[in-house]
Amino acid sequence: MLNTLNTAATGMTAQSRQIENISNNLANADTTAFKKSRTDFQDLLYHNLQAPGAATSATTQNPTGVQIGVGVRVAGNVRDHEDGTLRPTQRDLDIAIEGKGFLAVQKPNGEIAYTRDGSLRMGPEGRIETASGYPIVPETQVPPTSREINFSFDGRIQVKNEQGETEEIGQIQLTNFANASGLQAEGGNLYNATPASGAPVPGTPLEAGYGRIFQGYLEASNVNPTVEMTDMIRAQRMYELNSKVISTADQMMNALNSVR
Amino acid sequence: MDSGLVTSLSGALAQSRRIETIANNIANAETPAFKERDLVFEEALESAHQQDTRSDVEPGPLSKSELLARPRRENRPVLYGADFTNLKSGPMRSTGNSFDLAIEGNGFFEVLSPGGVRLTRAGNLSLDAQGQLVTRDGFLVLSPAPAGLVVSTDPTQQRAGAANPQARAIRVGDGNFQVDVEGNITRITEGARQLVGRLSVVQVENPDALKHSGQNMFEAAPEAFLKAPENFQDAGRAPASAGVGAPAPEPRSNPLGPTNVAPRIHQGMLESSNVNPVQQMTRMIEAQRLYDQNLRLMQSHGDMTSKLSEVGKF
Repeated sequence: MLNTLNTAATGMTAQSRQIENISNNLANADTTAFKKSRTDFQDLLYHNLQAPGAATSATTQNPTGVQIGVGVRVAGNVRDHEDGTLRPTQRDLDIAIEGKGFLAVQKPNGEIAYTRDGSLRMGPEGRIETASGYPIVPETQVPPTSREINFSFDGRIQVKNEQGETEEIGQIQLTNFANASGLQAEGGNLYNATPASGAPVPGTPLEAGYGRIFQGYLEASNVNPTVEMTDMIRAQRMYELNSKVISTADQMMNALNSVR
Repeated sequence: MDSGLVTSLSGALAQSRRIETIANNIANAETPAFKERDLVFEEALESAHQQDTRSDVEPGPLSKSELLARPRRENRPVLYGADFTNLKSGPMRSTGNSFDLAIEGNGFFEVLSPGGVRLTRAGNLSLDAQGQLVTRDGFLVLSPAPAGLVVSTDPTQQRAGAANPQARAIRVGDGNFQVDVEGNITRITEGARQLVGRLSVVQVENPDALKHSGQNMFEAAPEAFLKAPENFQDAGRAPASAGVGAPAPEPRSNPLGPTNVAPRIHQGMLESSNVNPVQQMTRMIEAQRLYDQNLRLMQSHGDMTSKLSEVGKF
């Protein structure tokens, strides 16, 4: 019975993790380039009371055995890197990546992080930065006298100078990972490379395997609220079901205590 | 009196084991491709002194002395005989994620766990840092064993095939790949469709020989009679169950589905668990009531014993 309590408790814990994950997805439904994640469950190890194939006599075997499971665990939260829809913003410094690739940004501690949030800003010295003020890599300076910044599909950054001539001032670089789901989310729409994600593979937009740049658009989150709501209802019901198991085990123990 | 108490006790223990199994089913109601289980009970053997030594006696009216001499047979404690796994496929859920694969029909993916090759139907895969297909635990998903090797049935061959299972890893690069119903994995590179790998799917003829090893995997005993479905075999590879000493068991209803029908792989779908919460709740209520009844019987036995001890007191 104590086992039952523990088993049901693993079920409740797993379902509450699921709810936590869903609430994070829903909270970020409007976050630029947010990628939803999904909770995956796994059954835990089994107690083998009788192994399948154990001898029941000199010539016969137990065909199935008896295994008692001890519950469930969260195997992982897998981030779904499917593209969100592109939302027009009409802002010159908003860029969206259609297809694969991350922008590299440099954090204040010098480390490189990756993002798909292309709502860029102009820093005080004309440097192109993310909304948090981190410069994009490679660093690009916009000359103070220039007008009309332009991002082409292949990531070239052009401005018009004082004479009205087009001048190329930089190039957007994209980075790919063998396993984007293995990136570690840092918050602030940033991701860090990990051993599971593989090494960053830099490239330029429009190259094979890399996306293209859309100016004047931002990538919306890929959260589908309908799916999240149905998952939430299911998780809640499963949580309740597990709590019913606990109360049943409790009643049984109570009955046991009332014997004598 | 004692044996009655033991019988009730075994009944109560058996029901509490059953509740444990039900708790595990409910805890795993959201685990992909989890299969629900139930315990099947059987009577324990009668102990030697209880056996009817006079079974050779012709049935017919017995004299009073014969009746009294006849051993009583009512005391049969319960043992758990076997647990039964309902291997029926769970409902398929569309996820739209290219890393989610579901198998329709009798079939399992082969994965390489640290303990050896295991089977799973949970197709929620991902990639490792080398771009190889792995399960949630980072265990490699395998392609079919090299030509000339049957997937299975013979344990020695199984070991031979597993000699270098790492070589059977499937490298897909990134999530931009398609899986057809036969498990062929293709990518479009530079406008051309290229075959990058092939999933190994094995069928199980004797599902009773599957043992749960946790983490959504099953361990197959040699008696499982694994075979590769016809259309999943590479050219030049031995046909299913050929050259195998042990004959396949008599055809019978296989909850996984017939092995002569090719399984189909669906990308972007995931098999849910087949736990039916309604059924689990009713079983739980039933087990609880039986447990209570067994406890009540124990109580009565106790009461009777104490009554007995009062006899003769003044």
